[in-house]
Amino acid sequence: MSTLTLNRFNAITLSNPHKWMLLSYGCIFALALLSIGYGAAGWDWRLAIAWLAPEHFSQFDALQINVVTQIRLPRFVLAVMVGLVLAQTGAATQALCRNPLADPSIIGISAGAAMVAVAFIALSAQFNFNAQHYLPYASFLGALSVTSLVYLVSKQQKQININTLILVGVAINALAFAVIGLLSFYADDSALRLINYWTMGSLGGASWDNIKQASPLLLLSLIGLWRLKEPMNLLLIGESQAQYLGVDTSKLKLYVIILVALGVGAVVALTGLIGFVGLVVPHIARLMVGPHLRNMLPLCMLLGVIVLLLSDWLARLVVMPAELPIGIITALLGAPLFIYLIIKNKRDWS
Amino acid sequence: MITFNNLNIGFNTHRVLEGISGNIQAGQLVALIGENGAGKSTLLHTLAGMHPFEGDILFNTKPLHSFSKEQLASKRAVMMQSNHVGFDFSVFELIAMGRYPYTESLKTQANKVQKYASIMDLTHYLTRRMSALSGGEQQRVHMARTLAQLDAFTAQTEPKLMLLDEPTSALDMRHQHTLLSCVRTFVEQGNSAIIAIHDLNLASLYATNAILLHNQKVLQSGSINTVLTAQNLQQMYAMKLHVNPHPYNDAPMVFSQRQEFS
Repeated sequence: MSTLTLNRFNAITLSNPHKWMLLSYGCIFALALLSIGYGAAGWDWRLAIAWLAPEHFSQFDALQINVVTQIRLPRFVLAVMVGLVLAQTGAATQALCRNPLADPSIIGISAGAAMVAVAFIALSAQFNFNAQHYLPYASFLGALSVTSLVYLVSKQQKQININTLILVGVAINALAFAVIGLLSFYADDSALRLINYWTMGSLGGASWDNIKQASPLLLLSLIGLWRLKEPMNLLLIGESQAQYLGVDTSKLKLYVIILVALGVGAVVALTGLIGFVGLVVPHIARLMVGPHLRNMLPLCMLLGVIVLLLSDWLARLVVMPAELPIGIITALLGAPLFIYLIIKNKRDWS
Repeated sequence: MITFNNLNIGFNTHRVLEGISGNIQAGQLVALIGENGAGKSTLLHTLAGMHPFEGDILFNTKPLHSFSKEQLASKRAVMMQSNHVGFDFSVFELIAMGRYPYTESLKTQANKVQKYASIMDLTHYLTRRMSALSGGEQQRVHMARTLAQLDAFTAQTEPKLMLLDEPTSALDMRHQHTLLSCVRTFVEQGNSAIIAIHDLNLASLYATNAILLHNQKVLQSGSINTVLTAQNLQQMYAMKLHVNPHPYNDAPMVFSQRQEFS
C-alpha cells in the first residue's frame, strides 16, 4: 500500500474526467461563437460579441444586434438549459430503471408530457384562456403521470423489467401521438401550428419570456437531481444493495421521478419532443469515464449542451434560410445507437 | 447481538418460513444450512431488514424496525447471492461504495478501499472494470465491499453483524479459505456473522454454530459439532451420509456416497 499506488488511484478515479471536462468546455465555447455568430440574419463570428458593446462594432446595424439579443441569445440559453436537463434526466432515468436503455423519450415520458400539453393548447382555444403561461406545468403533470405509470407497470419484485419498460414506452408513444392527432382536429389554426412544431421539436420558439416562465422548473430539476447523484449512483448496483448501504430507496425513487418529470415537462413545453439525447449522451459519457455518477454526470451534462448546440446549429444550417426541426437531427444520431445498444444488450435481457 | 422470535415470513400467500426462532451472540459465526429453496436467503434478508415479517427481531436488544436504513448501514452489511451489476464500474469504485454510510475524505476512503482489496487479494485489480473479471473475482470484490462497509478490521465500538449469502460459491479452494478465515477473524473480535453455505465441510472448519432449515422450520440449531451429525443431515437431505472427525482437528467432516441414477 505505497503512496505511489494511492496517487495512481486518485489519478484514475478523480483527475481523468477533468481532461474530458476541459475539452467539453472548449467545444461549448466554440459552439457558442458559432450558434450566436452564424445564422440567417448575419454571418460573422464577431456578432457573438458585438452585442456586448455595439458602439465598437460599427459594421453591424441595430437590426442585426437586435436579432442577436432577442433571437440568437435566448435560443443559445435555451439550448444550454435543454441540453443540461435532457442529459441529466436521461442519466437519472437510467439509474431509476437500472438500465442504460431507459430514456425519457423512449419510455414515453416526453410523449406523455406532449400529449397533456397539446390537450391543454386545444382546450385553451375552446375555453379562451392563455395556454402559454401554464404550459410547463401542464406538461409536468403529463410527464409525472407517465413516469409513475411506466415505473409501476414494469416493476416486478424490486426489479425493473426492461422488456416491459420499452413495450410500455411503445404503447404510450403510440397513444400519445394518436391523442395528439385527434386533438389537432379540434384545434384552431394557430394551435395547429403549435401542435405541429411540438411533435418534431424545435428551439425556434425561444424567447426570454418563455425561458423565464420555465426556469423555476428547469432549475429545480437540475439542482435536485445533481444533489442526488451519490445515492442514485448506488441505485445503479441494485435497489437492495443501495438499501443495505443506507439509502432510503423508496424516497429516493419518488424524488427522482418527480424531478425527472419536472425537467422533461418543462423542456417539452418549451421545445416539443427532442428525442434520444438522454440515451446518446449518457452512453458517450460512460464510455469516456465509466458509469460512476460522480465522474459521469458532470461530463454527461456538458456533452448534452454540446449535442444540443450542434444539432440546433445543424438544424438551422442544412436548409437555410428555413430550418429543420431539431428532433430530426437528434433522432438521426440517436436511433441507430439505440438499435446498436439493443443488439449489444440482447444477451443480458432475460 | 441479534435475536429472532417466532418469525413468520412469506411472499404474498406463499409461506417461506414458519415459527423460526434463534439467538446469535457476539463472537458467533453461524452457518445457515438447508436445501435449495429452504429459505436461507429469505431469512438473511429478513434479518437485514429487507422483508416484512411477523414476529420479533431484536438487533442489539432493540427492535430491528427502530433503526433507520442509515443507522443499520454502519452496523450490519449484506453480501447478496446474485451480484450482477448492469453498469461496468471499476473494482475501486465498487469497493468504495461500501464507504457510502461514512463521511470521510477521498484519501481516507482510498486507503480503506486498498486495505480491504488487499485482504481479498485484489490489489492488482483495482483499476480494472468488473466486466473484465471472472465470477469468482467479482465475488471477492463484493466481499471486499462488505468488509469496507463495516470497516471490519479496525477496533469496533459496538458489535457488528455480517450477513453473507453463499459467499464462497464461485471461489477456488484457496480463496474460499481466505474469505472464511477473514470472517472468522472478524467474528473473534466480538462481532458476529451468519453465512448461508452449501459446503458442509467448509462450514464445519470455520463456523462456531449452525442452524439447519428444513420444511420451513428450524430442524436443529446449536454449536457446529452438535448440529452436523449424520442423523440430522440424513433427515434433511434424505440421503445416506457419513460424518467422521477431521484427522487433524476433530471437526465433523461429511462424506456422501456415490448414487445410481434412478
